[in-house]
Parts: sequence; C-alpha cells; structure tokens
Amino acid sequence: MLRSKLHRPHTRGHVVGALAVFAIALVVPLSVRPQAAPQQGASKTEAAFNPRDLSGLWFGGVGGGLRVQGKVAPLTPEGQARFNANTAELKSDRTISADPTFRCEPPGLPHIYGIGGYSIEFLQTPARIVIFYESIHTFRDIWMDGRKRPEDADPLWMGFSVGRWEGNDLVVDTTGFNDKTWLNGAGYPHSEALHIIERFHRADLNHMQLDITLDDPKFYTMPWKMGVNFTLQPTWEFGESFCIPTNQESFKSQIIEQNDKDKPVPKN
Amino acid sequence: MKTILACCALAMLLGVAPRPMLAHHGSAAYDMSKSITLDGAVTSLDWNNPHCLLHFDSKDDKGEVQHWTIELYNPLWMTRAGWTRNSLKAGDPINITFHGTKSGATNGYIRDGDGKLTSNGKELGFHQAGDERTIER
Repeated sequence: MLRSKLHRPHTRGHVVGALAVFAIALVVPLSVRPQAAPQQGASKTEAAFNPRDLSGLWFGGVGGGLRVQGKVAPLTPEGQARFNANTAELKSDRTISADPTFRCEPPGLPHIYGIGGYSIEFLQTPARIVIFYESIHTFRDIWMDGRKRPEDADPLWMGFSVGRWEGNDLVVDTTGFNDKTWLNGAGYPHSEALHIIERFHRADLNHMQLDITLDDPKFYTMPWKMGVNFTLQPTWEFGESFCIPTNQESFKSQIIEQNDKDKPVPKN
Repeated sequence: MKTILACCALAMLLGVAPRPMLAHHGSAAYDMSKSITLDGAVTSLDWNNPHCLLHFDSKDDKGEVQHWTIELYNPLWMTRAGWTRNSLKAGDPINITFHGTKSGATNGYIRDGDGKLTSNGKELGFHQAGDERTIER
C-alpha cells in the first residue's frame, strides 16, 4: 500500500497525494525513498538515478520548447505600449524580426529556453549550479550557498539567481534583470521589476518538467506561467553554436524579407 | 467552437494573433497545411545558424528554372540527424517535399515528420537520434 502511494506519479491535480508523499518524504530516510529504491521492471540505470543530480544534456524540442501555460496575464498600460511596439510587424502579418535576439543580443529569461532546437546542460557543485545553454553558447549561475543579491547591483541580462531544493525539485529564484530582453519570441516585454521562479521537476530518469512563474507587477496585472518539457539525451554532446550577426542578417534577407516582401513595413 | 472563434477574432482585433511558437522566427510565413514536392539540383548547402539553408534549382511547369531556398534545422540538429556539411553538394539531384510560403516567394520550410529529402536514392532525414518526438510540435 505504502509502495503504491510512493510510486504514484506527481501531477498537479493530486495535491493530496503530493502532500502525502511530501509528508512521507519527511519521515522516510533518503536511502529508502522511492527514487532511490529499485523498482520492479526498471532498468538498473533508472533504479540508481539520483533525482537531485540533473547533470547531462536535456532537450526541450524544436524552437527550444518554451510554451505559455494557461493564458498570458493582462498587460498594464505601460506593458501594453511596449508589447505593441515589439509586435508592430504583426499588424501587416509580417514575421516578427524586431526580437533583440535577431541581432544576437542575449535572450534573457525565459526567452533563452525558446531559441532554436538546442539542448541545455547542468553542472553542479555544492555552492553553485551552472546551466549551459547550447543555443548561444552561454551559461548562468544559480547560487546554492544562501547568498543574497547585493543591494544596488547592476541589472543583468540573465538576472541574479539563487536556488534551493524543495523535496527533489530545484527551485530557482531570479531577480535583478535589465528590461532589454523579451520574455519570448512573441514579443512579450518585461520591466526591471521582473521576478522569475523556475521549478525543475524531474519526473523520472529521462523526463524533466520546468515550470516558470513570471511576476512583473509593472507590466502585468498578475503572475503568469510558461513551461518546458525536457528529455534527457545521454548520447548527445554539448555542441558549439554561436549567434553570428552576419549569419543572422543573411538569414533575414534571404528568408524573412523574401517571405514578407509584398507586405507593408510598419512604422513605429 | 463559437467561443474559440470569438476569442480568435478578439485576439486579432487586439493584434495578439494566436500563433504557435515553433522555430526561432516562427513558421507563420509558411503554409503548413500543404506540402510541395519538387525534383531539382542542389546549388549549395549553407551550414550556418540560425538555420542551415538548402539552395536548389528546379524547372517549373513551363520549363523555366526556379531557384529555391529551403530552411533546414540548425547545424547541431542536422548533425544529430546524421548530416554533415558535405551531405549535399552542388549538382546533386534531389527530390524534396516541404512547406511553401504563403506569399509565393520561392522559399520553403522542411520539418522532421512530414518533410522528405532524397538524393541519388538515399534518404536524408531530419530526426535527431534520441529525440522522442515523431514530429515537431
């Protein structure tokens, strides 16, 4: 009975079940928790995996896999004005090319999960988790040593991230962004007040769900969510992929401008 | 259904067209509801970010040569799908199935799942080893 409860997959709808598992997790020693326990029919590798070890390459899918979960929160007037400017090209049914990432500017968060079909990789040390992003050959630090963002710190493209484990979920809290990036390729803007919480939930050996909560009270009237479903790619190696401005320009002139050649150019 | 239509109409009025976020720049310019199949000869394969581009010539119904440019995936994706930058060279004959543009520009978009490319009887695929997905979504 206990085993069957322990092995029930975690889903959002099963709050009671999740609480029960959490309560059990508090009293059951780590060595006999379900993720460490051998499972009938599971491969040796799966039985042995440590859910707090996220090392390896993870693939989110084409376009990076970033999706809005539910609905985009209503924008404030200030946010709406910025969104309208970002997406002016849509009024003439053109492809959005105003995205700063087209000019190879850093995508910021969570936009970096929505660039191309590339992987991410985790490297973990006790004080710091590093996430490498293949799409633009960059990385970010997640501090696990309890430090706080320094007061008056400069705003950052990727923000300042601190992490903690909640059960076996890695929860990352990020603030301190500049307002130069978009939240995604659809043109949703953010202010420097942006606060992002990422929850990495490893459902099993090969699958990891990332839930992203976006809270920007200056540009949106309420928090909203995005997410990515990752699959582990044990056979892949992290590749070299840079954003090259001349390649971006060439792509834009050969593809985007040709595809939209008969459509009016919007005036900002 | 009515609600969905009303939502879409409202969204379009507000300039917030609901569109899938697929590739880096989206696939909105392409007609994803139908495919084009052509025979042609490769002129070049550009092996660059953000997308590799395949250039080829193909004769249209009137016998006139049209030049086509097809968006493939990024170089790492292509590598994981078994390609190298030398998989196709100028002059190689191809048979290719892809999505054309809504505007009529002779560009195209090929994707893992419903795209197909063969050269000299050999299929060149777009599915990455280890990718659980059968089609992009």
